[in-house]
Amino acid sequence: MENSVNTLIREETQPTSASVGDGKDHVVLRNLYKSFGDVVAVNDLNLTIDRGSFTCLLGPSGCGKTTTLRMISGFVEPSSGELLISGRSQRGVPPHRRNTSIVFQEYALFPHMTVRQNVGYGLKVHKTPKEEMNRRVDRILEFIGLTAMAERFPTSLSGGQQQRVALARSLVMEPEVLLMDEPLSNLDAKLRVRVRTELKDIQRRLGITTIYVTHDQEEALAMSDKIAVMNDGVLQQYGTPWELYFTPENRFVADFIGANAFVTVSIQQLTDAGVKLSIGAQSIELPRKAVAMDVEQQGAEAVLSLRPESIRIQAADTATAADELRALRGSVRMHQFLGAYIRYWVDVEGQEVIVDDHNPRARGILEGDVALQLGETETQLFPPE
Amino acid sequence: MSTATPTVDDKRRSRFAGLTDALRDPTTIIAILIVTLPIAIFVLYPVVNVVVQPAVEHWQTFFSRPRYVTTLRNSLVIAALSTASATFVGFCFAYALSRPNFPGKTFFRVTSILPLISPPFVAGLSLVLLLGRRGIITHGLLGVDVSMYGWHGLWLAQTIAYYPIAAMTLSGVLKSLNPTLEYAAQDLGQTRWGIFKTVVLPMTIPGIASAALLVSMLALSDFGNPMVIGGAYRVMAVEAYLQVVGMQNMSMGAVISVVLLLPSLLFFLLQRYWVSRRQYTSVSGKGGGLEPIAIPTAVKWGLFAFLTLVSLFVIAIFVVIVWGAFARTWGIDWSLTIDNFEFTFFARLGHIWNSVRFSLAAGFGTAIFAVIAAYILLRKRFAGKKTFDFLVVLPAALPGTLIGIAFIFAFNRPPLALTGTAAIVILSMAIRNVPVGYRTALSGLHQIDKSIEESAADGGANTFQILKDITLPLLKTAFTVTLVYTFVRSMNTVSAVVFLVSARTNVATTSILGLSEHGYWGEAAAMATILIAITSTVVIGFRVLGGKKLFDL
Repeated sequence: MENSVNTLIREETQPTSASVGDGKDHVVLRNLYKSFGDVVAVNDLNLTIDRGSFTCLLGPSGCGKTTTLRMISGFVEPSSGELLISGRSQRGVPPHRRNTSIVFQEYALFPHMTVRQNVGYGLKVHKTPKEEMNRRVDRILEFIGLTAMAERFPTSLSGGQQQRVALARSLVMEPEVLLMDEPLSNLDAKLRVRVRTELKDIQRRLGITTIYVTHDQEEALAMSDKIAVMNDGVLQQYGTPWELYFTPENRFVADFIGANAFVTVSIQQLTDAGVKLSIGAQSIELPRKAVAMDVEQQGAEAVLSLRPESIRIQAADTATAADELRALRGSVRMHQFLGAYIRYWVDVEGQEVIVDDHNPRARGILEGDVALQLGETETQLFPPE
Repeated sequence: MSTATPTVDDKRRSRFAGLTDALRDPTTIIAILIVTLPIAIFVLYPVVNVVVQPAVEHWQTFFSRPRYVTTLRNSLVIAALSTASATFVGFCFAYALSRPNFPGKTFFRVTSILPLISPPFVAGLSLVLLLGRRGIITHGLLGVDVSMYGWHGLWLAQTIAYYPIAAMTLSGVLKSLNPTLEYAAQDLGQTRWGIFKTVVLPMTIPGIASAALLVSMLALSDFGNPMVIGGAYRVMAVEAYLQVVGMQNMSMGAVISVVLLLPSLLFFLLQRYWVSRRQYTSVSGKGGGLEPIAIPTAVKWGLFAFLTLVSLFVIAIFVVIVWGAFARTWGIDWSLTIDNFEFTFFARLGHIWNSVRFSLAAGFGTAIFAVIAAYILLRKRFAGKKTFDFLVVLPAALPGTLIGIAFIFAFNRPPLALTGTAAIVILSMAIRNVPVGYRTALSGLHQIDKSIEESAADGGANTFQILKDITLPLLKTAFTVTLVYTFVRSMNTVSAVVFLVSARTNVATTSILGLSEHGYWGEAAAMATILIAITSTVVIGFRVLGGKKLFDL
């Protein structure tokens, strides 16, 4: 490989983001299908992953994301469909012949080997000359900042350090594609945030194509160039974090990413400019672009997805007539003061809406009747369940 | 900094606090005494007593006469051979059972522990019937005249008798290996043979060492097999028996039993303080649903063929015992008869009955004692916990021969004149199983955290209710497992009781040995069949009645 880790370590000052999105397909999944007995784990998955990009497979447990990763690594053979890496089909290619390397959730460091032996294991297997091996291991250990730990055994390292050793053991092989299976889930919350920043930084500096499995939406949003949201073995949406957050294509994505409230509405009137909805006795108007579904019928039921931070809350008696167009009235059922913001649970016509007030000092804690001003774009309309 | 590490003063204070706690709570002192007194009287005292018995000239005799030196060498050689082969066979079973693509696992799971349901010397007894001078294969099928008596027959018999111990130990170790490690190695380019060599095997080495130490302790102190099949190849346990029972030479018996004790104690200490610290199992997780890597086809079928051979051989051993029980005169007249059972019924029923009631008594005694000891260690605060723990598991280090001879020395005169009584037989059975029962109870108690009991107390339950509703149900499992385990082991034990039984208190195993010693193969086989029938009924019944698995495989 020309863009080897070593070369990139030397050239790490150069921006590598140019390689992201240059249109070069690196890993391509075509109609990938996998079943275990009569359980379908991955159903007809199509995905094209750009060279040098950081891609997350995101979804709840059992959604097929780990099986997908294992199919890419070669541990699991697809039932049908095709997997291409750099244009070459991987059918029948065993894991150790693929130019991929995987970092496991529990690190899978060999407990009977030192850090140096762990990192050098793959090179030794490939009969790399001793001198070159030492050089490469030294360089990668320095790169991840664990030179001082080289002669220690994994059990004497912290979780974060073990994680970095596992990463180094993969990176030293200079794989084309780096695979990671929930690598941070064994770390405590604070460490997780730190290590994910480090991981992302290392990936950015090396420009290595990375596929990362997680069930943590925040992790996915923070690290990814693109996210593939999966549920029940089916791809729900594939896009940038921004797209997923602001324009979820279905209710599952809207629900999985962010803390949305869903309100059942009925469609009163549909024009090119907007849509008029009724919620119980109240009605509101939204711009047409908020409608993510093919809602054509008047009077049809639909589900309105509302982002807590996109709603402005104020006391009912301070609302002006100008606000009325996109405003709902309700009463505060409960609130939590969380420092940076106050989260309200508001009863609107017997349904619950979550609202975050990010400027708590302006209004104080509200009680009783309130008016909710909906944002123009961060609302989405989906078909009913 | 100074607050993080406890100073010497802190340690002293906490130790002192433990003492004052104990003084404030007299029940703790009584409880500790209930456990430590019997250990002191029935383990420490007899062992120390026997160690100081022989005078210097006895030791000189032992090390200067070729008879004894050869016996010692024989014991060490056969123990080394049997340990190597039994550990190897045990490893093959455990490894094959740990792989996802190995065929016939249910069958091999049974045969991997099958020899455990019979006394170890049944393997030797059966080998004589199978491959001996009048053996069904050698004499009946091939018409050759070979003798199984000697080191090779003994080696084969001990391998069969002890591979289940290795299989059980290693099975636990291999099962706890995280399969992800194997996938990581494969991902880095390693072949399946390479994975075995660089990952699986190195991580199993402590387990192998542990299994080998256990097997070598058993092989070294084995009495039944050398007696039945050893022939002129005499080992220490047999020599001790000949000296004590045959020649009434008690001092030489004491010397030999102490010589047997030393390696056994060494292996025990090695296992406890060296091997157990080197287990890698604690670092591994669950593996996220990945199965261990499949074994290559050629290896799979090679292993399959080997284990099938071993299994068929073991099954043949039991078939031959039952057949021998019904044959009129083995090797000469193959016609079937129930004469052998009739003999057993009229002449030896008392011995079987003794075995059953002594083993039951030992089972209950061990179970009660072990559960109390475990409860005290985990739930009471007192100084010297490590010593306490060491004392309770110490009997595991003692060869049966030593216990038998030590008991003769210790309890043949007042205040505790027990020689010839049922009590001395039961006690020898009971103390040998205390370590296993104690460990079972400990792991049972570990299952519930102390906080569960505390939360029950918080919820208003009093001490009695906590004991009744939470602690006891949990200990019930440990209790019954220990009861059944001790019963089965006591039914099959021979090396200690052979010194302790009298005409009135003779048991089935020693009775069988006596019969086979005099060439009454049919009668010996009939008694062995009855013994196996009783123990296997108890084991299977225990399993069927919803009991926990007795042997963890």
